[in-house]
Amino acid sequence: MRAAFEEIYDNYHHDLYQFLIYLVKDQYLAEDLIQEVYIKVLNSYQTFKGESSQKTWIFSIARHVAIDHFRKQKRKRNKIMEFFDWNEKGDLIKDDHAIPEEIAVLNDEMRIVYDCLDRCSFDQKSVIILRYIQSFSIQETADALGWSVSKVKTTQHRAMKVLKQKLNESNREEESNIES
Amino acid sequence: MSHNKYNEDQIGQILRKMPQVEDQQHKDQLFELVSSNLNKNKHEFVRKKRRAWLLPSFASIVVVLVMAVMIQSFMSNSNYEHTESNDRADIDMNTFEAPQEDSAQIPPSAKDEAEISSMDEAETRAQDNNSTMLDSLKSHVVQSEHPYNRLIHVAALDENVNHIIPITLQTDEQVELESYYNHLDKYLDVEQLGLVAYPFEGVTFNVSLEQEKVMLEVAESYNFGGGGGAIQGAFEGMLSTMFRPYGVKEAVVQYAGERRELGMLGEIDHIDLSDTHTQLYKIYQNEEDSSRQYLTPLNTERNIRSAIQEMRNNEHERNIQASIPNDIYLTVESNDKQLIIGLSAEASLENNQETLDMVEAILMTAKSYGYQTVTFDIGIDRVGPYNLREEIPVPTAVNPIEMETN
Repeated sequence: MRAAFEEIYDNYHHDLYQFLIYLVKDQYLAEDLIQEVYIKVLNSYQTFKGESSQKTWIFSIARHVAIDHFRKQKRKRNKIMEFFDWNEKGDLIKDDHAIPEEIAVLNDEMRIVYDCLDRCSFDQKSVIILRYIQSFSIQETADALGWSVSKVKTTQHRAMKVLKQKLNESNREEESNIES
Repeated sequence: MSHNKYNEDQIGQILRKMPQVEDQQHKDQLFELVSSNLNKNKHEFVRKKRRAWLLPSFASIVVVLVMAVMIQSFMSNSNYEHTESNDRADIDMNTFEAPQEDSAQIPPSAKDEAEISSMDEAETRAQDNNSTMLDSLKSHVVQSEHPYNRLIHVAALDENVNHIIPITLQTDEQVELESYYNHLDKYLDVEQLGLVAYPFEGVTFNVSLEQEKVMLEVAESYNFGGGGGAIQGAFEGMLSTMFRPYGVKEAVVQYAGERRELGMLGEIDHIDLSDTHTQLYKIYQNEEDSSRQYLTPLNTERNIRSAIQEMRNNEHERNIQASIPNDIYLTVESNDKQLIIGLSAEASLENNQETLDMVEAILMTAKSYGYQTVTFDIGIDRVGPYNLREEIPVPTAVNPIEMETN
């Protein structure tokens, strides 16, 4: 068990953590999710048949752990929405994300880009994180996500379009605020 | 004042400068947490299993006791004379029989667990197979519907509006079927696929699977997406490609505003989608980007043997390629719902993309002719994800595209 853990940790931990932290943007949550990834990986480590690459397998587990988390969060949010008057009390809800130190010190421009990542779909965000923040090649990204190269390219293209649009919108808003 | 300050290169540069975030957990600490949770999960599983045995056992004991009381009361009210010892014997017998009934009831729960675990295994195998396919050769079909995936059947047109190309969107989102068709541009960028625009902008779909109907509400401004006669001519075929796989047999046309002529289709109230042509499958290839290839059905009146031979012919002027290499001669036999394909001349096939395309085009063609399985005796044991030593069921859908998860 320890040997398997060591192997996965040494080969993939850094990449997995970057992937998850930028997806969920919360240090404690990323820690919880990465634990869940290890539990799932180690639980089925013996039965892994090696028909896909180990990297694809592990990243696919990480991706599904994150998707599950967002789904649960969405269900929870929907339930809250039913009982909560957002007009009156919405602004009382605080953003209690545990922001990693490295992110807290980002300059304004980087901060806006970081915030705009949330405007992308889950798949788009996954590709942006792997391709740009983790510097994976297109082939490596395709391997990690278990996608075809063309799907990576298409998703990346759409993600950049979304980011460009959102960034320019936010820039225009800022400029008009300054003018007024 | 610049309104578009950021271009994609600049955004890329900013993203590349994003910091690498360090995980604050120590490796050993993480291992401790993971291994303790692993053990906890195992113990919970064992506990759950034990609890799962407890409840039926307890219920069975209660049933036995109630039965014993009822039998006792029945016996005491009957005309038969029983000694006290006989009564006791009855009760004892029931008490002894009951555990046998109980144990007979236990295996189904064990069977359920075995089924669940085999479902998991099947799912893992399916995922593994998918990964293998993606890692090596590109499959153009969906072999079976994944339990968590939904298949949305859409139709696109090639650039010259010669062919209707069926596309299958795979999604794990569970929303109303109409939502996909009424907002298809949100899910499908046909131009990215090297195909032309979807001509249903201005049509609102309402699908009733129980009535096997699809209702089309046509907006007053509807103009076939600006398309000419060719697109109008493809309208019916596209509807059929989209909705026939769900068992829909009729499209009912409703007009927003006044009833009017719908292009060359005329003033219509309904379109019959129940007519099915036999189709053979060849490969459409985009002129500019040869990587964009789709298995494309072509209507035919031929019999299956002749259709398979026809699949060896290119139709360059229509951007259609043969799906069976021209130098490969295949024998075609059928046995009820099974099609048997053999290699007739001295030729050899390899496990490569060309052979995979051939196998999948034959599978789809066989499906169109009503066959359920195909056996390939073509000199190789495996191509892509297929084990050719076994009968292969015809695919569920063709030209899959994984839809983005939002």
